[in-house]
Amino acid sequence: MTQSSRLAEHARSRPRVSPASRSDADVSALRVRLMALAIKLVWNRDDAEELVQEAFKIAAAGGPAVVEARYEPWMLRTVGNLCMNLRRRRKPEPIASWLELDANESPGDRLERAERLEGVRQALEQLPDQQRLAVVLRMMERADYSRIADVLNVSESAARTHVHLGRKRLMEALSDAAGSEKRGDVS
Amino acid sequence: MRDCCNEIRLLFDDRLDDVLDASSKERFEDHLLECTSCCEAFDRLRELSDDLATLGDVADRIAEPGAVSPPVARRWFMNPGRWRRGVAAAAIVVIGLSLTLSEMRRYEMTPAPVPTNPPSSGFAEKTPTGEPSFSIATPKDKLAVQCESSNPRIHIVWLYDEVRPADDSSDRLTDPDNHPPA
Repeated sequence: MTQSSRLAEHARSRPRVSPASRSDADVSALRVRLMALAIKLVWNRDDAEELVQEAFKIAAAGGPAVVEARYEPWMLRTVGNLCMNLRRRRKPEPIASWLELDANESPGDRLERAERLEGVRQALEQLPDQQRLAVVLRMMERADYSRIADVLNVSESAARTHVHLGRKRLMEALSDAAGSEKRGDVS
Repeated sequence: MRDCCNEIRLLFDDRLDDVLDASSKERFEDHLLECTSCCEAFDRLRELSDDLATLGDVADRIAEPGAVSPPVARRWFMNPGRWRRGVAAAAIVVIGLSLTLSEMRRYEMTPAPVPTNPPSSGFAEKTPTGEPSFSIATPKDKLAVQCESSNPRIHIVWLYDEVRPADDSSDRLTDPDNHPPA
C-alpha cells in the first residue's frame, strides 16, 4: 500500500463532521466564535449574522470534505472570505457607544479614544485580505500562529509574515494619517 | 539608521509577542534605553497593539448573544462628527436669516404712492386717479407711479429715478425706453 493510499484510507476512516452531527452546544459555541470574527471584519451585527448563516449553509450543502479537527478552521476561513467579498455593507457600529466606561476618563478623553480607535479600524479595512485576516486573528482574537496558519491554509512562517507585514502597513497608514492631520492643523 | 537599530527593529514583533529569550530581551531593552527613535517606534507599535486588542473586546461585546445597540440619543451625543455637522448647519441658517433680514430692510412693503397733485410736466392725463388697489415693494431711492390699465387684473407701475424738468415734452408713459425727444 502506497503512502497516498494509506493517507486516503486514514482520512476515510476518520469521522466526517457536518453541522447535523455536532451537538447543539458545539454549534452554538462555534456560531458565537464565528460571529465574533465576522463582526471584527464587517463591524455590523446584521451583516455578520447573515454571513455566518451563509457559511453554515455552504457547510450543510456539502462543501469541501473536512475532518473534525479542521472543521472550525474551515468555517473561520469561509466566514473570513465571505466578509472580504461582501460588497454592500450596512453602517458600522459606533465604537464610542460600545467602549467600556472608565471612571478616570473624562468625556473628552473618551471621545478622543473613540476617534483614535475609529482611525485604526479604517486603516485595518485598507489592508490586503490575507494580512487583514492574519492581523485580526493575531491581535484581536489572540490566536497563535499555528491556528492562523490553519485558518489561512498557509505555513506557519507565511502566517508570521502576513501578521508582520499587516502590522507594518497599519503603522505606516496611521503615521501618514497623523502627519496629514498635523499639517491640516498648522495650515 | 544604525545597523543595530535595523537588527532591533526586526525583533519588534517577537518582543511584542513576548517570545524573545532572556539575553535577546535584555539586549532589546538596553537598546531602547539608548535609542530614542527605536523607543518611540516600539511605543507606537505597542499602542497599536493595545488599540487592536480594545477593538477586539468591543467586537466581542457586540457579538454577545442578546447584545443590544445603545439608544440612538446616547449615540448622537457621543458622536463628535454629528456635533460638528449640527453646529455648521446652525451657522448656515443664522447667516441665511441675517442676509434675508438685511435685504428685507432695504425694501419697505409700502403701497404704491398716489400723487394727489399731479406734476405739471404733462403726465397728468396718465397718472392714476384712484387709490391703489395693491402694494408693491419699492426701493427707497425710486418713485413708483401706478398707471391706468384696461384690465383690472393687470397693474402697471412705473419706477422713476428722478423728476424731469417741466419743459421736457417727452412722453415717458408711452415711451418706456425713455428715448430722448426728437
